[in-house]
Amino acid sequence: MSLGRYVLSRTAQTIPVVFGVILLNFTIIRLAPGDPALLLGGEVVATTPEFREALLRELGLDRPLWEQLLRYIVNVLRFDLGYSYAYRSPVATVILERIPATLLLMGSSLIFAAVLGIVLGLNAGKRPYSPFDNILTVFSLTGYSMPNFWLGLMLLLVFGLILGWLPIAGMYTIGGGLEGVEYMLDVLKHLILPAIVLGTSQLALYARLTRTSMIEVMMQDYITTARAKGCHERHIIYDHALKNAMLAPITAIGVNLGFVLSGAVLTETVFAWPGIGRLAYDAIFIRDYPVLMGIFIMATFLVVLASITTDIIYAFLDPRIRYR
Amino acid sequence: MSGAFWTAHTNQMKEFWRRYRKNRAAVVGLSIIIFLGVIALMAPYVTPYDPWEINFEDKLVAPSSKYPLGTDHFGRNVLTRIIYGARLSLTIGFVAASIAATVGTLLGSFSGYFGGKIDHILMRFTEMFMVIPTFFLNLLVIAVFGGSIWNVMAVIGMTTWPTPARLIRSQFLSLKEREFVEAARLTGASDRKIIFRHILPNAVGPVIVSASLQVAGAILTEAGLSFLGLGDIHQVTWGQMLYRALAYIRNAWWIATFPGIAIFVTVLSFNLVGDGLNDVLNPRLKER
Repeated sequence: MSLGRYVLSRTAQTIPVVFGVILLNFTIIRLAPGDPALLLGGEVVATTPEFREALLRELGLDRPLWEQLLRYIVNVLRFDLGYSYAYRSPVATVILERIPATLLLMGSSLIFAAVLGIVLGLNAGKRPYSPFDNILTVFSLTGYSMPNFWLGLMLLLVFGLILGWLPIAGMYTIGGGLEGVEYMLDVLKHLILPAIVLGTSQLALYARLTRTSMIEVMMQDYITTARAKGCHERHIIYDHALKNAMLAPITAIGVNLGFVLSGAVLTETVFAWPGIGRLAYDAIFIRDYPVLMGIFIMATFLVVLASITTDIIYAFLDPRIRYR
Repeated sequence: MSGAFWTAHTNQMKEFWRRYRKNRAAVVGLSIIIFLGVIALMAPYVTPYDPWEINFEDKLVAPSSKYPLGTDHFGRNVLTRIIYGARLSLTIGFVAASIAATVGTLLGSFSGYFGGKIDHILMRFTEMFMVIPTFFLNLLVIAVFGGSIWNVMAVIGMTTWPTPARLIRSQFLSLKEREFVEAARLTGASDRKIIFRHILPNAVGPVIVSASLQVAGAILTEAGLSFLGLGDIHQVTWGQMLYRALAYIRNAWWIATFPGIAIFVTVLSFNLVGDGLNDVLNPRLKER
């Protein structure tokens, strides 16, 4: 299969997922207890029966069910995710405004976790069961046994409140009036704690994956061959082993995006980071269902996109995949 | 049941324990879980206090001899609430993981055993659930249907079954080709009997391992949902205790700290037990 055909068939596979999620969203709202107009329109609806009628008509809730579903699918595909009465603007706009902050947070945590995780895992995998490897195993277990929001609370307590080294909330100093480099440094300072919190369980995962695959790779015949040829150990590790050992953590990055996104909801809530996670928290608080549904759909799109991208990168790096 | 059955059974258990014991961390994890289980069951005997008792005169009191882990914003005893919280947090973990294991086992068995179209449809369905970010689905479902403790357990269980389903399916795919299945079929055993009596007992190993990890995952998910205000406010769970922790972190660090430690230790223990079970039940993986 050529790479182009692989990309096409891989993309086609995701169509059922996208439709499935749209259908799921639709079903949840129809099964919900109470008035769907109240659910989608929020508190405003309760004011007058006329408004309720108008909203029902506008949302098409007076039409037969199949027509509602069809309409809903078409709307979502046109990126019309409904209207948020709390924000008085289309859901898609509300969500899009928050995406850059979330991407900044997720991107930073990913770089932190992937770089450090691969370096640590590599060194542990070189000498399995050495003291360094054992410490890393304990660290990894700790890292993914901890609720990430609780780690956030603890770091906020120690570094923000007790030591006072880092800011504890928001993305920049409000009313600071900073510009240029100073502004960037300010954002960076606000970014440190949330990025570490969001990155910790990923770091644990990547370190462990790299360690395991490093141990496996070091047992391969081509490593023995390289050794027999008299290659320098350093050359073997960095030029022969590392490239192959990195495949596992790189694939995991894409698969893991959904978890990272859920982690972002909790992390952003702790640190008042103005991304989609915090938006979800606020939406829960005021029961803004259109926004919650929109975030779910959006999150699915992002995850699907990431999984396609990683699979393609992987197929590009490792041609064997395409022939399966 | 004959005596021979029990002897064989006891020997198996002995062998199991002999191998499990080799992983010392797993033994520690199991001991902690048993300890927590006992505390949860005996809660009213372990602590004389009421987890719900509100005492505004003693609110936000720091850890002291009267309140070893302090009090929360309603003056409720944090230690007492952690002890009672063990009940529900462990229950949530076990029930959610059991739902996931049951649904996953059923779907995975049918998929692997019958193959063909059934397998194709069920696997597409499973893949869908593996791809979608289920935490957001949990948020939406609980926000819409309410955060009663039953909803929380059901939703966590119903979004985590794909892992056991895939494990069971791949076991079935290889086991159904084995001679003992052929033999059972020749004696005229029905599909149902072959699935549940012959193949399943040999296929559950990986699911038991994954269930132990899923208990840990469910406790973490419940904590996260509660922290976002989607838990059951009428119940004492460790997650629920953290719900208002952020608001009071400036003047009452203990509210955030201790329930989190309880969650961490419990989740860690289940992960260690999972590792230990893995060593015993999937020895081939370890040899690699």
